[in-house]
Formats: sequence, structure tokens, C-alpha cells
Amino acid sequence: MAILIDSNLCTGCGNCVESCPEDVLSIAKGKAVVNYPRECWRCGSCVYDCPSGAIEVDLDADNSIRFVEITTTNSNSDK
Amino acid sequence: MSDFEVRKYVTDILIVGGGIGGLAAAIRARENGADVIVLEKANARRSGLAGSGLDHIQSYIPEFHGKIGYSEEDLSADQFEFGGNPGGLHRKDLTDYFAAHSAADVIELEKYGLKFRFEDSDRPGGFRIVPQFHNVPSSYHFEGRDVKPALAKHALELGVKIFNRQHVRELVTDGGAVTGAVSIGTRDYVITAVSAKTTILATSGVASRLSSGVTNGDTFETFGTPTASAGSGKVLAAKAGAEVVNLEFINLVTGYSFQNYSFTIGFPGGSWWPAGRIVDEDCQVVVPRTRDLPPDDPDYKAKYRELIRHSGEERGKIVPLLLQGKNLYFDLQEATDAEIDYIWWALGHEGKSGVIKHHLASRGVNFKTARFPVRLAGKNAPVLAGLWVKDSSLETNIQNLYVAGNELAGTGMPLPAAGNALVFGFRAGEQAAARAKETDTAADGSGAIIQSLQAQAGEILSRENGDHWFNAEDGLQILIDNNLGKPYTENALALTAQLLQKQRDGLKLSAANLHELSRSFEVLDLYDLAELVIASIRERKSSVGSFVRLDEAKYPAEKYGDSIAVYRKDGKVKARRLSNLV
Repeated sequence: MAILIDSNLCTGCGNCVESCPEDVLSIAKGKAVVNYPRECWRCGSCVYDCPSGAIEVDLDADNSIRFVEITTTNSNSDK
Repeated sequence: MSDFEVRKYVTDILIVGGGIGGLAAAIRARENGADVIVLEKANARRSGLAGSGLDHIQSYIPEFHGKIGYSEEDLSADQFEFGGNPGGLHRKDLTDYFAAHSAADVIELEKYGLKFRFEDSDRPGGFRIVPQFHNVPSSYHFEGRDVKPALAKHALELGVKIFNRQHVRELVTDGGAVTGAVSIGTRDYVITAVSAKTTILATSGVASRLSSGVTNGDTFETFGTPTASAGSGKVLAAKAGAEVVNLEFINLVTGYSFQNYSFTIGFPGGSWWPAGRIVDEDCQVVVPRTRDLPPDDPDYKAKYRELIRHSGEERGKIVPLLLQGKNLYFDLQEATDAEIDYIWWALGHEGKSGVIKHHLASRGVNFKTARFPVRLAGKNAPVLAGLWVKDSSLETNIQNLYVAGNELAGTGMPLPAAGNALVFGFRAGEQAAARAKETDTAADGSGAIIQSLQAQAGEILSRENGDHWFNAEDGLQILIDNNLGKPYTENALALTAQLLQKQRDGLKLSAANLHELSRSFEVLDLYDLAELVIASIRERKSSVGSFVRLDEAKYPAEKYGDSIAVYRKDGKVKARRLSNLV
């Protein structure tokens, strides 16, 4: 699931539903819900337009993003 | 369930697509006194390729370029060179227009409340300027996350009517001229028919859904926003008889990915330039960081060109090493604190990078010590194409049909370019408004189209156990991935055309609701587009740039730079060769 909605924070205002370019969200029982999770392309519009900070776009670690801490230092730095 | 309410409107100018190009056209047309309706498939607040933001935009920047000694001609030449790759199919008259008008047009965004000037800048004008991979450093780096809400708000304040969630299905024509369009709701059972004196096609230039995704993410991990990437504008235009040029398919391998983005050139670079570098497992530098030049360097131009050439050469090492199975990483170990602050700022303004910023920040990532694996990416499928115009009036070969933004052929990059969308959006709005003043309102000719659209929608909505759009799209992508984007022979192309036709004829789409109906229409457009693409490649018959024919000996190469135009006449696809030398 790419979009995580905190139902405690969601007020059901519908801004995210209006904004979503892929039409994947709607309001059900007063809260935003994700109807078509695999059509989300993680653009972030819903996050930007949510007035209560209730939405997070999840970047699945295996597919999208990984980082590792550096364990050795670089000897080629020209600084 | 498929009773659609039909709403009819009459206006001076109809704009299909409310991205940057469409809204720029709407704003300028309205300023020139025209009544304007925009039909937008999503919501113009957040639609199009810049829907969730834009952090750089190309322009001639007089304060900076004047000081260094870059002329408008230098910028035009740079655009011609880069946009011509890989096809070599650019229009110098249009890049000249961009170079001459961008200075005034692009900075207009500042008036809509977007921040372009920064106190810590050492560049003339107080701008932040990123070079990307151009020989002329020419992109404003700005706070454009809300460029679409800002443009939409301004357009609405001017009195532009924007109808959101309306998916345009066909242009209405009368005696060889376009007289409006018909759309269908993606959420409401509404069909909208607009009669207009002039129509501007401002649909997206990309059609990346012809091919499977760029990265191994979810269904829609494409380069451009999926809803804007079905190539519908080209299909609409060709059906109305407009010439769509250079639809050849290039299976561009995107090289490598970083943070859910894929790159061919410009990385490390772009917004991260010049602080990023590529290292191997032992932290040995593979691609060193670069350093920008101070704007008062007397030899800036020559040194800069060499810098870009050299860093391009260095970046060329990445893909071969990844193919050898080497583990490579991007890091910022040589970046200063100020550069790292800049990167955090830069990440917040362009689309998905804002999501990545939030993700990294919430996990407490420290750019000083983190390193990021760089991996081989999948393929991308840019279609170097758009609508042919005879000159910078931006009217197509079909009377009263104008083109704006990235749907305009012969300008911009092979990939979408925001500066071009804006400059040619404003231009289309101005030109279409002038034509509308001398044009009578045509009689409403939408009846037959509405009837056929209702029937088609009813059939898809009422069919049970039919093909889901996603499976149909998947099937098309497999066919395209396997058969196009490689050196061509006439025999293989003919076979691909047959397979496509067979697959299309066998499709029995069904949709549970209007959302799925809209997706189904997008898939039908992708099939129509594929037919146009194959016709275009077959007509080329020669190698140009990346378009490689294995049977070229049988088809001697024609004049470099010719364009191939495809269009429909009486439903049949036609193709012809055009000279670019206008």
C-alpha cells in the first residue's frame, strides 16, 4: 500500500480526493480511503494538500529506496 | 447505469488538458479577451507532469546569461542539439522562438507567488541556476512545488472555466476545421460537448505507458504521471486528421536509478549538481564530484562547456560497471554543509522528490554519512512526437486546431520540458485568441460523437467478465517491449502490426465503474497509438539518429532530419514524409 492514512487525523475534508491525479482516493464513512492502491504513483499531491497531515506516502524499502551507512572512509577526497 | 447527462457549452476557445501548457494558454487567451473552457482529465490543481511540483525550468536568463556572454542564439543552439537527440528532428525556428521569448514568459511565474530569488545566491539576479546537462546553464532552480495550484488559481481568477474529471474522447470537425470536443466524466455520468471557435490541444507529450515501467515498482512506476501518459492527445489529433510527427518508438534504456528515479544523463547532477559523486564498494571514486564556476570567471563559457563534456564522459562509466555486476553508490561525502542544506531544499520542490525528502527525513538520514545504491534501471519508452505546426503561430495542419506545451513537435527535449510547455502554452493562447476574434461560432456538430460515445461506454460498463483494463494494458506492453524499440526490418514491423491488430480485435473490455471506464479508454488510446507508431516507423524506411533500420540498404537513408507524419483519413492510418527544413 503506497498511501497510509491516519484515520485519527483525517477529518474527511476531501482535499486529497480532489487533488489526486490518478483518482485513487475517495471518502467513505467520513474518512479518506484508497480504492486503487496499485495506481498510485507516489506523486505526493495528497500529502501536500492534506491540511491535517494525515497522509504519508510509503516508499517500500525493497522497491524504491535503500540507504546504507558508510563504514569506510574515502581516501580519494580532494578536499 | 449508463445514462449520461449531456451538457453542451459554447465558447471562444476550448483547451484540452490543464497542465502547465494548457493553463498558460488559458491565462493568455483570457487576457486577450477570449472566453475559455478547459477540459481536464484529472484536476487542474494537481494534474499533468508537473502536478506535484517542478523545481527547475529552462529559460534565457538575461541577468546571468548577459553577464557571462551567452546569447539567445547559444540557448537555441543548445536546445536544438539536445532536443535533436536521439532523433535529430528538431525545428530551429521553434527553438529560436523559445530562446527569444522565454526570458519574459518564464519569470512570469514569479508573479503568481512562486519564489525565484534567494538572498544567498551568488548569481546575478539572485537566482539559483542549475545546469542539468546543458551546454548553457539555463534552468532556474525555484520553489515550484505548487506551480499547478498557482496557475490554476490565477486562471480561475481571470474567469477561465475549468471542468475537471472530464476525459476528452474526440475532437469535433466540420469541413476540415476543428469546432470543439466531446468528453466523458471519470467520476460523474456526464458527457460534455463544447463548441469552440478555436481549440488548443495541450495534452501531455509523453506516452510512457506503451512500455512496461521504468523501475520495478508498482504498476504505475512510470516517468510521467500515468493519467497523462496514455498518448491520448496524439490519438485525438490524428483521428481529426492532424499530422503527428516522429512517433518512432525508442526503447531507451534509462541506465541507472537512484531513489526511485531513473536517469540517462545528468546524474549525479541536476538538482544535486555539483556535490554528488559515485563510489564503489571500497569507496573508491568512480565518478568524481564537479564544481561550479564563479559567475565572474572571465573564461566561464569555454570552461563550462568542457566541464559538461567531461562530466558526461565520466558518467558514461556507470552503466558498463553496473552491467559487470559492480556495486556502486551515490554519496555526498565531499559536499559542504551549505551544499547539503541546498540539497534538502532542492528535494522539496519537484514531484516525487518531495516524497523522498519526507521519507529520508523521517528516517533521520544524514547526507554526510549515507550512501545510496545505484542500480540498473528498466526501460523507458519516450515517443518523440507531437503535432506538426507550420510555424510559430502553432496552428496545426487542421484549421483552428492549435497545439501547446509538450504536445508540440520539434521543440523541447525528447522528454517533457516545463519551459517549453509554458512558453508555447502562452503562445498558443495568444494565437488562438487572435484567430477566435475573426472566426464565427460553428454549428454544434457533436451529435453523432455523443451517441457513439454513449454506446461505447454502455457496452464496456455493462459487459460482464470481460477484460480488465490492466490486463489489456499489460498485454500491449508485452507486445511492444518484445517487438519495438530495436533495430527494425520491414518484415518484423509488418508482423508486429498484424499481432497488434489481432490482439486489439480480441479485446472485450469491461469496467465496473467510471474510473475503470476511463482507464479502459486510455488503454484503447494506447492501442491506437501503437498502430500510429508502427505506421510511422514503417514509413521512415531509413536510419536517423537512434532509429536504426537493419534493412537500410534496401531503403537508402533520406535527407537527415526529415519528419514522418501520421494521421487518419476515413479511419485509415496514413503516413507521409515532411521536410524539417522550413
